[in-house]
Amino acid sequence: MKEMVKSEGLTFTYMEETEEGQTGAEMKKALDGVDLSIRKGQMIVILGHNGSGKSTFAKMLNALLKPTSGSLWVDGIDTSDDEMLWNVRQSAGMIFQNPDNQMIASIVEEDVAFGPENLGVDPPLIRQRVDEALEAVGMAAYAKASPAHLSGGQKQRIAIAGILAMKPDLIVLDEPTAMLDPRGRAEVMKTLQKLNKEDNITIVHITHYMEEAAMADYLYVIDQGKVALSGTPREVFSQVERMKELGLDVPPVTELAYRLQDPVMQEKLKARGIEIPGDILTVEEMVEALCPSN
Amino acid sequence: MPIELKHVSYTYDPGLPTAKDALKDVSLTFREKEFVGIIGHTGSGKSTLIQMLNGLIQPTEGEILLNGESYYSFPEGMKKRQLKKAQAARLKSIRQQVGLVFQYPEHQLFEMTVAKDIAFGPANLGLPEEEIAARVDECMAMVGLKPELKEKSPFELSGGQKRRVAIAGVLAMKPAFLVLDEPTAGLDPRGRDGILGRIRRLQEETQIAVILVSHSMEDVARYTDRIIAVDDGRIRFDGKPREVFEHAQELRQMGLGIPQMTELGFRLKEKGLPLHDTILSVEEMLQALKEVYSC
Repeated sequence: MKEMVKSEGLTFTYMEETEEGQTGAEMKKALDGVDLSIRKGQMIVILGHNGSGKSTFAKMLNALLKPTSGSLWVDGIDTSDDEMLWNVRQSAGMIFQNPDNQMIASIVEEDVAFGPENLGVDPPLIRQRVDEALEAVGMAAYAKASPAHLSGGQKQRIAIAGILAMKPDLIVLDEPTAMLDPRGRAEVMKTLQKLNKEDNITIVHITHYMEEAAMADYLYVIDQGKVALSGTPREVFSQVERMKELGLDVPPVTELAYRLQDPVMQEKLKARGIEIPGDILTVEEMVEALCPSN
Repeated sequence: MPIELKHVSYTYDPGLPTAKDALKDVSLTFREKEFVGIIGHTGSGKSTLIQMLNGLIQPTEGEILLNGESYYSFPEGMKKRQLKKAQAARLKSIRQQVGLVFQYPEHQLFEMTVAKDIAFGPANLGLPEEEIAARVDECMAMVGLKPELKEKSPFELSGGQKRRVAIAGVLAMKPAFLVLDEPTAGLDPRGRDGILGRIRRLQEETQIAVILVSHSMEDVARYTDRIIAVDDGRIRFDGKPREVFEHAQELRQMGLGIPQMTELGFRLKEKGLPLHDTILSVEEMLQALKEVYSC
């Protein structure tokens, strides 16, 4: 079984509420026939403007929402199967935007222990899992600290440790860096990459930061409940015009590479032996293209 | 009508073991009509600073003045009741002139309709009905909300629209300073550019001064005229974006960064490319490359 997530015709409709709080006649489709498959060990980023349906998809991975039609399997488990609900939730851990809303205990290690305790894990094993999880997110030194005194990035890493202690195969993160400062964002991204590369945990990361998306193995762009674009970051971001149409953006270097494709520029650059590919993703690649080392 | 901070310090929990100096001897002037960006990591003191501008936090030491008038000192010999009245009146006037939009301001919407929510501030100022109605229309237009949304419930709107309602509510007080704490957090690129672009235009057209707290170096580089970098309760840099972003290494040590194009510019310079100024945007980089390669 190599697939971590698979969806077929995944659709989610909801009744839009009217002003009086009554359900009106209008049905809205948050997701509309999404087919995708995520292999084990992949780092996936989902992009899409606010209201595109991407958060609905995230909540379905954790069985917080169930498909209206179509199917979604997480690690081979059908998320519509009520009896398997807790298996899905143990398998797919979820992290949200605001770290403060995810802290429940007054001491870091107790917060991390909350998940495995609820799963009924043996106490000595809980101890071990908490220590390992804090180690994995680089927060072992803060085990006895109060979450209130931590920075946003640290709190978010504690939240991730809380998920890790449940030994998930998949971590779903819905804009985990939106409220963080640049250092906090870098800390969280480093943690995610480490968990993905070293511990082979599948990551589904929803973000509005294109630099973060550039680090993924594969991107899905959701628009109006459908997959509008998918591919490697290089394939997706090189479609600059299409991304802008979708209300999204590309990293500044990719935009620069795209603007340098202008034929007059290309010719002048070529005369000096410089060729700029249209799908540059990082500053390093652009430096190498403009000033080739050999 | 400047806001001046003179040797301002602020300590949370003074005298307790948890005491923390959030601001340390800060002297700073916010001039009228400016577009200023404030950057600093979480806990650097920037939130304390902006709450001070609005009179929500009183300095433990030092003085803060609006238009030459101190926020908190009054002539000696005032009777207690008189003093209380004067203090309340001054704070009210400060909050009218220095409008503060908090992070995630959409959580603070509470009225039945968009129009009522925006009217809340001016209604509290005791303005006549017609004036309030005119301000609601005007401020909705300023933030790019269509008039037909007026009678909608704010809770029916999208996240970006809700945020615009909250900003319009502060603008309706006609402040001289608009202070925004991360107004684009959690918005998608289009929502972000929509709000910041509007605010920039508003500042150019109406001359309102804008003070923008942001974690996005790209945004402050693109929209502001002056950047103040706060670290450990002190002002580390205060200057034009081009000047401040020259200090890449120091900014990184402060847990911040520089725009991607600025970084690229430095790297290309190291490789011997004759780039002159500090580069802030894709547009500037294109221009510079055109000059270098005489396109």
